[in-house]
Amino acid sequence: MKSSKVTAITVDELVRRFTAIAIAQDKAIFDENNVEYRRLYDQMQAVTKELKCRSGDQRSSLLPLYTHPNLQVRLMAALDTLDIAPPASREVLQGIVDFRRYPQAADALAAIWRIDGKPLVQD
Amino acid sequence: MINDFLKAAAYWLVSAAARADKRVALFLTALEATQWLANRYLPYIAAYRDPPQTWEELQQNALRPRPGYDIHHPVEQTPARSDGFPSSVVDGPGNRLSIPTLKHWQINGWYGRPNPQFKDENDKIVSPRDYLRGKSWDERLRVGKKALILFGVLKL
Repeated sequence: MKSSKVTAITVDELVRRFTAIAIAQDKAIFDENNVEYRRLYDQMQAVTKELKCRSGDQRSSLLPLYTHPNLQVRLMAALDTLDIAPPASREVLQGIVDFRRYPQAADALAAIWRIDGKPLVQD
Repeated sequence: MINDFLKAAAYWLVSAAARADKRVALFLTALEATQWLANRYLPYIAAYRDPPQTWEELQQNALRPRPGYDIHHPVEQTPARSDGFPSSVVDGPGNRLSIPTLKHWQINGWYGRPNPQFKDENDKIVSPRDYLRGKSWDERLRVGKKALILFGVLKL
């Protein structure tokens, strides 16, 4: 994966990077490689933060990923857009729960619980 | 490599069955025909397809080892010991459940990955395992039960 700074690339490139990171996360999960997953998670946070900082909050550019064939891509796109597209992201999360592929189904259900005021831990 | 096949097969079967995919029956027939593979791995795949069970059932089943299942400690053993909980409690019957091996692997992985629902005192996202360090037994057990529900092991 390219290591160019997220501040120096276009929104389209950021979305492509988000997608590539999520696909790599899916593989890291399958391989039970949490060290790699943590590295990728930090990278994704940087991409999402950069999209949010761009004019008009460009996280909306992640919405087309709701129909991506990879479940981890759909999950991360839904989680990172919960506050800008609440009903649509929830629908994606419910679809992932119903798909019953773990651990994505577990993370999607936990997110729905949180939306419904039942987070895994109290703040 | 064979574990990759086992995981991919089990994960696909559960998801496909949830969508009433007709290829599930074909796949299982083909797998049963490959006897060495079936003898070794069908118990793991069958266990992975278990519906959620009650806490009492999971505890009772821990008394009799079965292929395809692991003993799962809803309060993780190593961190609990590190935090000074006695072995009699950590390894006691109240902390021993029989769950499908593949779900055991997945839940262990979940405990170690950063999760936006778990934050440290500096508001940094951490893993459930890191979050639970220094927490009470009750809090560990509460999160352990939630994890089992999330992964379709424990009946809500």
